[in-house]
Amino acid sequence: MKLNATLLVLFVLMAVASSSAQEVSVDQLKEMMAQASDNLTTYVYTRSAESEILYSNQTIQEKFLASKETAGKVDLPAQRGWWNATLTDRISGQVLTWEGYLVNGSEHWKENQNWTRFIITDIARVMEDYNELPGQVELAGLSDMQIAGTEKCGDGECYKLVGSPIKPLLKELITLQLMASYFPSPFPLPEELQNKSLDIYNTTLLDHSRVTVTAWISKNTSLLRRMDIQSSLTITPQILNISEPNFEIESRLNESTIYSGFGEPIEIELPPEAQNETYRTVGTDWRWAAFGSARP
Amino acid sequence: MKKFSLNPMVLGLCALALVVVFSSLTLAQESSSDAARANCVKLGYLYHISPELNNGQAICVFPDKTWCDAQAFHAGSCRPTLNPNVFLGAPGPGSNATQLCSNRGGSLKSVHTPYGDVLVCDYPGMENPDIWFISAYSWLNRP
Repeated sequence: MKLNATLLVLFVLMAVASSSAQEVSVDQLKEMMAQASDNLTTYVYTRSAESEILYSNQTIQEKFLASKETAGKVDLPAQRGWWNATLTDRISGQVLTWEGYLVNGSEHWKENQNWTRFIITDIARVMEDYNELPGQVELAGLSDMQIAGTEKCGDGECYKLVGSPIKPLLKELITLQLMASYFPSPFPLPEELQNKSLDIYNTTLLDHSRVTVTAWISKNTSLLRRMDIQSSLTITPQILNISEPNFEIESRLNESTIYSGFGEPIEIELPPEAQNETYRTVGTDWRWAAFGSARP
Repeated sequence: MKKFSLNPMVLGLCALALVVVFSSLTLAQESSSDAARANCVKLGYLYHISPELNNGQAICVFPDKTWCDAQAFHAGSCRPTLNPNVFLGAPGPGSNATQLCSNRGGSLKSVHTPYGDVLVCDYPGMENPDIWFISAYSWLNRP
């Protein structure tokens, strides 16, 4: 009888623990995260990304390997923003830097040592670019996610969600990765991509690609605290369903972003040297394009 | 036949007037050219003059290597394509994304990807949310 009572207590404890783990659903978490991102004021973030692309055919074996480190600050009430990106070509060792400021209704970019001031006609639109956390929340919202447990994040606990973007979004992401893979490529861009006649759904590219999205959502505030994206694909003429001499491109991009400092005061000041603005005399280094967006 | 003679003073005034007119035209041309250059580079694009391109007239080169005549770009009669328009089957440049999405009862969302943000038209309330993409406005739209 005593044993039965002990078993009963254990059973109840297990049931309580189980219900505690399932205290929220994925949809509820997505909704709470979206609501929290609607009330943002200030925050900072750091992002690490690495792109590795391997090119091969009968005579060529080449590799592109680069990493990009980004830091950013966002002050929505003051309509101010800042980001700083450093791209390291891990093959040549070359380092490129890029910095952007949105202050007092003007945008300023520092590329290596040169400053350019941009004419802004729609500051709200530019502010959206600097306020990039909601875009990550949308990505999680448009992904099939599962709760993978809880983990410590920053100074608190987070729900960990893992999943993959829904198919239409996956298709667009893979299309971007496909195009970006051709920037460092020794192989020419296929005609079907040049003239935009390639229909991804008529290829097996989606079967040869994988995108995993992992989100950490604060238990206390429902704010997104960290987001990881791992994306990979393989390209061959057979996969693209095109007539080209045989080749293979393997592309991998891993990105991790950590958000913090929510609601805390931040300073974004344009350096005095920014007044020495000059005209841009050279275009953007192509290696930034291997990471897709010109912005962080 | 009456002989037509020119008063030297009138002749001098005419010559002066011509010089003034030509000078003004040249200055106006230079000023216009400066404005076109400033407009191009302040927007972050490259101002370039090459004998092989555009009959030697200045051009404004965009990140995807397309270009407009610098004056035409300044006047607004030539514009860069929104993006490389990598989204196959997406509406072309100049589409009013917000309006297009709204007409379909959806709301436009900017979604982060590791390769830049993409605009998504999301249809809430549908069993299988249908989305279609307008363009990726961050895709090297500006250098």
